[in-house]
Amino acid sequence: MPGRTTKKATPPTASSPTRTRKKAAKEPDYLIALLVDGTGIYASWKISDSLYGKILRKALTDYHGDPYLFLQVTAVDTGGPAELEDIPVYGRENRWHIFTTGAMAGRRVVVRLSYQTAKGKRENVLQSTEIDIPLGDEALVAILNRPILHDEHRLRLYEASGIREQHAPTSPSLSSP
Amino acid sequence: MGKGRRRKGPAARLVLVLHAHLPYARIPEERFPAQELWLHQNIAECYIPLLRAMERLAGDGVHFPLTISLSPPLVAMLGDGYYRRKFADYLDCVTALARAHATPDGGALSAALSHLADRLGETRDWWNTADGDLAARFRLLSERGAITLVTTTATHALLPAYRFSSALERLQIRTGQNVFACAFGPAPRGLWLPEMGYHAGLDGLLRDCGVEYTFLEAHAAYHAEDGPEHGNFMPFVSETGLAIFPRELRLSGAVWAHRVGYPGDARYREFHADHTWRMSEHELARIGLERMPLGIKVHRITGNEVPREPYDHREGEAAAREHAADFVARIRGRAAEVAPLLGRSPVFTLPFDMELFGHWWHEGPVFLEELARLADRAGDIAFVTPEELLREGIDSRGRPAESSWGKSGYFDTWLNPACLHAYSIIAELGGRLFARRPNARTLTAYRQAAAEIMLAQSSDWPFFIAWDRFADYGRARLDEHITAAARILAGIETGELDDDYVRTRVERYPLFAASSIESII
Repeated sequence: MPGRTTKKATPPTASSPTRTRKKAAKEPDYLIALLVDGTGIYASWKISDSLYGKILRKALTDYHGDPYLFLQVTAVDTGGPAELEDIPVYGRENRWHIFTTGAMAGRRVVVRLSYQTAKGKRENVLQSTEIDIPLGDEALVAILNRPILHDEHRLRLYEASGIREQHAPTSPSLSSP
Repeated sequence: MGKGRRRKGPAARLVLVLHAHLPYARIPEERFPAQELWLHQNIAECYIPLLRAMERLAGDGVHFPLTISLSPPLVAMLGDGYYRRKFADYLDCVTALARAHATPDGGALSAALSHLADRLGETRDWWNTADGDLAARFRLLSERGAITLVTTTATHALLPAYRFSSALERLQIRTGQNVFACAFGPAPRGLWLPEMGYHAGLDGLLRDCGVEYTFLEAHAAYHAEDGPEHGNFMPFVSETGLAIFPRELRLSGAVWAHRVGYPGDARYREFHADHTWRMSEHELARIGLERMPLGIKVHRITGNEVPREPYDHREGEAAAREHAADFVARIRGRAAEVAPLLGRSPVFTLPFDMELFGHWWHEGPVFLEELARLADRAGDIAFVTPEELLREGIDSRGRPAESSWGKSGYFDTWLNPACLHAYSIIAELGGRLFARRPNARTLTAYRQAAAEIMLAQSSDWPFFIAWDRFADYGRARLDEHITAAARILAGIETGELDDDYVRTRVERYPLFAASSIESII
């Protein structure tokens, strides 16, 4: 409706997923994002009946009546663009693999599950905890070479560390590879 | 004092950390189930030989301050009469079998069997003297200042897999601290992060739980934008005040790597060849045993595709001493390489699984004892504890990067596709647990539900599955604990508790029965 003030977006709730589950223990909502390795994040989510009902009341829906859902990777630190990835997804309960990009390297990010409202806005419904995306080799060398922030020995220390050749040792024991 | 007369500081200081952990298993229906044999073999080959070496060193006045992490499942098993009885039975069986196969003129193999029997006999004597209480011996060494004890999470959970729930992480950390405090006294200042798994923000949670320091993989010191100035060659402090001791790779690689490291030397005892397989089923049956790898190891590594030769303990121990001398030289060389880059002498943090020394690498305890004596005599290499360095003050600051040890340096061994779904299920179970408070009627069940969730969180199960070693067992344990937690929680939620079922579970997995878990939650 023209001129009508859109109701303020509900702040993301799943930054404390435990609290969400406490409120509705039998019907949990969650968005779990796990850094699996240097190149990927595994995200899985579940939307409860009550939350799904709220979404449907405001969402733009497709032919089947399902809302348009998105996983967004958003930086929460400073020093660069905030919106790093926006992936259309589907399902009240689903999982997704997000490939990390060069723009994410070295950034502290969160993953958010959002939907598109009938008015064309995005509303966040669930949010993960923070993840520090590791630096890739290229970004690492660029940072280590920066003379203002880091002394010149740091790159040499990195080269001396043996990380490049022997990224992570394996141990033969039961618990540790 | 003139400059020339000033006593020179050590060329390098080393923080040597041994982390001991075995998955909790209790199978009373069987005499020697494989899962309990892991414990028996490690007690006989690793924990007792290391304790004996440390006691000798302390008795001789050799300063060798190891930092030792003992996992709560291991502490629980070491303190339980059930395992002590079974270990004594195991030791007697294996000694008798080794002795029976060692004929007086049977050549080198018999000599190896005879030596093994003698060695196990000495182990039995020490065990009797210690009254089977290994935890007490660790505590005694700690009280004498010979070692520093730290703890780890309750069931060896990889915390980055539970980053979505600080409540689950806190439960693991605080329960681990409580188990430690019950066994060893005051809460430890340090905590070993299982698999050295670290994620953004974990430093703050650890500090909230009273943890002052931990150990991380080398790249934790480089793969974040605001990494520490001295890389992985000095400890550093995170912005929340957690001291981090990053691993040194090249030196630790010389010790652990089975192909290029010391343990691959052909003079050492072979881990995989077990003489029990050569014994007749009839003979084993006579003493009530089935054929299984009991740990009668009497061959040396020899080489690939050639018949294995009998083990000669004199050669093996000589090799360990040679390697200790070589390691001292490597430490000096490494210090000479990095000190000019640092502008000071380095601190090398060398963390290992304790079970490497003695179990996987039979001569490992000899190596460590010799290393201690050589360093003590040389004077230019000093072993220190994290707490000594904390007292001195750590001036380097930085943000640690997310990391773990393991093949890629991240979490994919444990967050493997076959296990990922389990983390979501555990998240839901955790939510249901935290949404309830126990009352007098439900307290036992509530504690056991928490114990089952924590047992499901053990990093051992995804590790077994990822590496296809005991994969079926890993899957079975994961399923077992998830199912038990779900069933007990459902009983609490509906008010229809199955007390017999809860009692059965407490009897099988009693390791946290006495912990007031509800006070942590």
